[in-house]
Amino acid sequence: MKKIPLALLLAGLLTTSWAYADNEAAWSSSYGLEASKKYAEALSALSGVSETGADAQLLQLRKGWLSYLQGQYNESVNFYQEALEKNPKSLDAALGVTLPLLAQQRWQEAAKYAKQVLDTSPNQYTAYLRLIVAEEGAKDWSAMKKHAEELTERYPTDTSAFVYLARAYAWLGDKDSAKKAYSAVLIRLPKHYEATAYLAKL
Amino acid sequence: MKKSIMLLCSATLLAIPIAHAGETWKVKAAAQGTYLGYANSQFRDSLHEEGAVVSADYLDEGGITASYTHSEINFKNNIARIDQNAYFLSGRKHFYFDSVPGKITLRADGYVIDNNDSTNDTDNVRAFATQASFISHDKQYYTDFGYARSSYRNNLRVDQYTPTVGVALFDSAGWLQLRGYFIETSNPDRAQGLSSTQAAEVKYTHWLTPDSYLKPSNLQIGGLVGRRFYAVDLDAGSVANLADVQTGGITTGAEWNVGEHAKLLLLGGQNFYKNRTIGDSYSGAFGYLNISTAW
Repeated sequence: MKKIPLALLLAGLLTTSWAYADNEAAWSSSYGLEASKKYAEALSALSGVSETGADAQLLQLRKGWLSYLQGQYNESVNFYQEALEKNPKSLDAALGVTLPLLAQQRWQEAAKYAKQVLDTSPNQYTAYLRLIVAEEGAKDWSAMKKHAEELTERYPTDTSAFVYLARAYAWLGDKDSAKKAYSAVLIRLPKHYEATAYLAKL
Repeated sequence: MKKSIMLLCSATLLAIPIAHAGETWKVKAAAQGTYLGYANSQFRDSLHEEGAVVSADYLDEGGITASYTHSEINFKNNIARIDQNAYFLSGRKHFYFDSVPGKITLRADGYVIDNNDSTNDTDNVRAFATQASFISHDKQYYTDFGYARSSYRNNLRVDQYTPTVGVALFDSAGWLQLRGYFIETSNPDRAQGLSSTQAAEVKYTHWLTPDSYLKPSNLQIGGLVGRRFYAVDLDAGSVANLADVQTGGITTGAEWNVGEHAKLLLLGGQNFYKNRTIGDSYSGAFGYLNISTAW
């Protein structure tokens, strides 16, 4: 009689390890296909992975990312939003969804999610940058200036922060401040094309 | 005029709590005025309009616009002045499809116009317009198709079709837009003998990088050729119920950024008209001012 539970236990362990091995192979295959820029195949490779298992959240985020890489922006938004519904604290999901939204030029929605990340993690670099890109797209120069200024304070070595700050000043007609910001860009990245071109025009 | 200013103030006050309620709504309010002086007209002297526009957009999903315009036309020869109130309400919804490389917008507008025209020909006008538009993600191409139906008293219905194309020029520093106006009237006896009119409108906007407070952010020029009667202008949100047949026009203007949140648009130009019933050909020089602010 004792042999029956033992056999069941062994069978269970074997099934689990086979499933684990299958999953590992699926993920590995998906990453490999992505590296070869075969994004549709990379997504298909995950079709056998359980959507309710331990990796469900990662699966959702990866589907969002691979859909984005294929230019399937609506699908990508849906995957990321589903991931966010399942885990509202996921900064990965909130940051992820900004990518297809920016690609579709849905500036206000992208800014909303970037701000959501900054509310939780106030100095998050990527969120700042995507918020600024959204504000530039929406031609909201004063908001862009405010956030680019904050970014240069927090990341004073970052060239991109100064480029966006310079653009915001330029669009607001503040030529002196734009000149200073573009000069700061050239100190961080000599011969920067945009900064050189702007300063040459003055 | 006082009514318009009061309406704008009320609209502005109403808009503030909406804008501050969350960052999901973007609200814009504008006050606008037009003065048009007629030249060589047997009967018309001048027209002035004052109005307010409030627009609210929810993220990138869609939005609504409402406006009020008060107009007064002064005539010669002791002909009684016409006072008019026009109300406009518009809603739009944006759609994004992966199979379409851009944004599709569906829009529906309603117009209600009342005035004291003793003939009733231009009074109690009701118009409905709808428009489907597409703009590419990179904002290089635009197209729309609009349809409007206007109903007038004394047995007149007007159907209007407006195909439009737009294209970015000069590395996106310029925008050229062409719109056709194909207008059919149900009763030529009520439309100065015209059963249909056709016109083409062209507009060009060129954006400048501002480097001083006096330099405009953009310059505009436009023109109209052909004939246009009882037109519905979907960009302006207005119905030309008081105008005679427009036979041409030229518009030029500039827009300035005022501070970080406000804009000032100044347009001027000349339109040409003809009243075919009495053979009165005349022109109208106009100035238009729009001050807007956004939250």
